[in-house]
Amino acid sequence: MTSHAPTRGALRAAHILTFAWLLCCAVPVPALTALDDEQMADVSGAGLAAVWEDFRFLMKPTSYFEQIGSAAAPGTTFQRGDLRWYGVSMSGKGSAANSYSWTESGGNMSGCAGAGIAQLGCPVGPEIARFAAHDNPYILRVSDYAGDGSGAATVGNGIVTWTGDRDPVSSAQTVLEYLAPTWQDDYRFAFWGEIEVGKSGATNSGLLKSQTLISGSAAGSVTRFFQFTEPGFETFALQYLSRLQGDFRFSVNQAAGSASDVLGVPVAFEQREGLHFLNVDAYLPFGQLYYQALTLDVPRNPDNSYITDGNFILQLTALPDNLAVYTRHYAHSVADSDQAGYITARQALLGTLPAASNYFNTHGYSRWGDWYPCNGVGCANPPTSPPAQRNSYNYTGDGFVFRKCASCSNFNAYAYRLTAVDVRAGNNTYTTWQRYANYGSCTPGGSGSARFNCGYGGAYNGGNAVANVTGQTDPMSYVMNTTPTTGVTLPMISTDRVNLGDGRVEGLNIQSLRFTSYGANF
Amino acid sequence: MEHCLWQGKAGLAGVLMVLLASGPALSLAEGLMPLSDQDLSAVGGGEGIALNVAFTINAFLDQDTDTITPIPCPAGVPDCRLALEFNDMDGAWLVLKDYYGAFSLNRVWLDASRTPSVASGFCDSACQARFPGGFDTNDRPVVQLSYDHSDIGLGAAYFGDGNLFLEVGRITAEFGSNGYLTDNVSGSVLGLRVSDSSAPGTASAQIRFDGRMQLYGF
Repeated sequence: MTSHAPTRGALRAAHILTFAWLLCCAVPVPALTALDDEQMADVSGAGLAAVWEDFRFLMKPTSYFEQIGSAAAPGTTFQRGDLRWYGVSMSGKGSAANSYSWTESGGNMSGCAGAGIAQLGCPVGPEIARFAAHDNPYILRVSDYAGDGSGAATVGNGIVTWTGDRDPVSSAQTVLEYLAPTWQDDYRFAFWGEIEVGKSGATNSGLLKSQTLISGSAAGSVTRFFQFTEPGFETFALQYLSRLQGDFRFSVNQAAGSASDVLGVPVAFEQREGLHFLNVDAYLPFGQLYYQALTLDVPRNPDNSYITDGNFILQLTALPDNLAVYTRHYAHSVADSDQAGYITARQALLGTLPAASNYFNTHGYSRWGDWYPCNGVGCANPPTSPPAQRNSYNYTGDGFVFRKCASCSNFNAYAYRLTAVDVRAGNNTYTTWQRYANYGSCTPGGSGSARFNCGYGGAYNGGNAVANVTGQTDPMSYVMNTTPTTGVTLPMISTDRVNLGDGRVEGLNIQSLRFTSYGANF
Repeated sequence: MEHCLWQGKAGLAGVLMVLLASGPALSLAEGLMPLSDQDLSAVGGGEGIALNVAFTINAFLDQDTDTITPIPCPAGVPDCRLALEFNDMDGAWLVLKDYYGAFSLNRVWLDASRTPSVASGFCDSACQARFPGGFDTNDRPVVQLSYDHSDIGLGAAYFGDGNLFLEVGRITAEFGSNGYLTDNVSGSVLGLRVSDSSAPGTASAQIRFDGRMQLYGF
C-alpha cells in the first residue's frame, strides 16, 4: 500500500488536467443536478473517473491505420512494406445471435452466426455492459509515490531512484497515472489487416488479408508518466504495466461469397480457421518507478554525443548497476540459496512460491492454458494412469489450438516426443528421438525414471483417434536435414483441429529493450 | 428528452458558444434561487445539449463530405510539423513532418446525470483502494456524453458519430537549437495515416460510439 497524499503541485496539475479535459471534451450542464456540500467536500481534485457503460467502439470496416513513409534507406536489406489495419473495434462478447462480420448488406452489418471457439468466430458483437462500472472506472490521477510511511525502506516498498536514493522525502516524485478498471466485462477487440511487400506503383503484388481477434480484457493495466531519475537524462518517462487475460485468434481464410484480393475491400473471414491461444493470462511490466522507464532517445557516440543520422530510439532503459535497485528489483524474499532471486515455471505450478513481494511487480509471466495437472519431473506424484484432465488432442477449452476451416479437409496431426538433455555436470546425454506416445500405447512405470516412459510431460490424450497411416514421409529427415525417407507408417490422428497443449513462462524480466528506427535517410 | 441542438461547425467557436451559454446555468446551480423542473424546462440547454465539435490542425475538414484538405504552411517552413524536444535532450528534436489531421464528434449529447445508487459488484478490494476513504461512488452527479441511437439498431452499418484523419508523412530526428525548423533528414520509412479506403489520403475514418461515458472527480 502506497501513500497517495497529493502535493500542491499535484493538485494544481490535476485541476489543470481536469479543466483541460472538460474544455476539450465536455461542458457541464449542472442546472438539473446540484452538488450538495457533502458531495463537494469529497472532491479533492486528485483524480478524474471515467465510467463507460453499454459501451461499443466501431471504426468503419473500410477505415484504417496505415504505416506509410518514404523508400527504405539505400544499403539496407529491407523491402518496403505496406501495412493497413482496418475496422478497429471494441464490442461485447454477446452471442452468435448478435455477432457481425466486416461486410455489410442492405445498410446493416452482415450477420455472423458461427460463434467459433470462445466466441472468437466473429469480430463484432453487441455493447459492453460494464466496460468500466461506475464504481470501478478508468481513473486519471496524480499521485506522489513516496513509500508507505515507516515501511518505506523495506524491500518491495518505498521508492528507489536510478542512483539508488531511497529517501521517501527527497526522492518523492509526482506521477500522472491512468488506471484501467481492476475488473470489467470481457469484450472483443478486433481488426482486420492487409500486408503487401514489394509493391511498385499501382501494381498489386498480392495482398494477404488477415484478422486478429481478442476476447477478454486488459483489466488491471496501468500507465504512468513521470520524470526519469538518471543524472543527465532526467527526461520524460513512461511506465506501462500490461495485463491481458482472455482468448486470442489469428486467421486468414476468407469465407466463400465475399472473398477478395482487392486493396481496401472488407471480407468476411471463415469462422473457425486459425491459430488460437486460449485461456491466456499475461502480465508484462515495462518500466519501474523510478529507476527504469520507457524513454525516447537518439543514437549516441561513445562520448555520449548525438549521432545525427535522423534515427531515434524507443527504449526501456537498462537497469542501473546499483545495489539498492538490485535489492528492490530482484526482491525474492527467500533465504540465500541457489534459487534466490528468481522463480521457475515449475515452482509457480507447484505452488511453492514465496510470499508476495516486489518480485511479482518487477517480473512478468505469460500463461497459455492452465497447464494442469502436474505430470512432469518435480511433480509430487506424477500419475501412472491416463489423466482425465490433460488436454485431449482436439480440446478447445484452453492452450494452443490450430483449427481448419469448416469446408476444408481434415489434416493428419503427428508429433515427436520432446527431447530431454541432461545438463548436470559430467553428463552430456540426451534422449533418443521417439514418437510422442499416446497414453493407450504407453505404460509408465511406478517409480524412478520409468515413471516417465511416456515422455517427461506424460503421454498425450489421443483417445482412440490414433491410427497408423501408411505411405508417409518420415519427418525425422526434416529434423536431421537428411534425405527424406518415404513410404513409412506413422501413428497419426486425422482431425479438424489439434491442441498442442498448454504453456507457461514465469519470471519474465526485461533488463533492457531498445528499438532504433533505422529508417531515416538523407 | 428534449435536447437543444447547437449546430456549430466552426470547431472551437462552437465550444466557446456553449461555454458562454452555460455560464448563467452555473450560477443557478449554486442554490441561491432554486428553480422547479417546470421553470427549468423553459431554459435553453437546461435539459442537455447536443453539439458538434471539430478539432483540426493544418487542415480543413469538410463535414458534409468527411474529407480533408491540408492547408499551406507559412513560407520558409519546410512543411507543417510537430516537433518535440524532451528534457535533458537539448538540441535533439523528434519531428513529425508533413503533419495534419482532424477529429470531430457529430451531435454528441452532453448532459448531467447520476451514477447508479447501488454497487455494481465489480469493485474488488484493489478497486476500493483507489478511492479516498469514505468516498461514495454511488448516486454521484456526473457529466455524461452519449449519442442518440434510438433509431439506429445495433446491427446497423452506421459509423457517423465521429471522424478522424491523421497524416504524419515522416518521423525523424533533427538536431540543433532550431532543429524544429530544419529538414536535414528528408526521408523516413516511418509514417502514419488514418483514413478510409473510399478515398485514401483524403477521406476521414468513420467511427461509431455506443453507450455513454460519465465523468466525475474525487
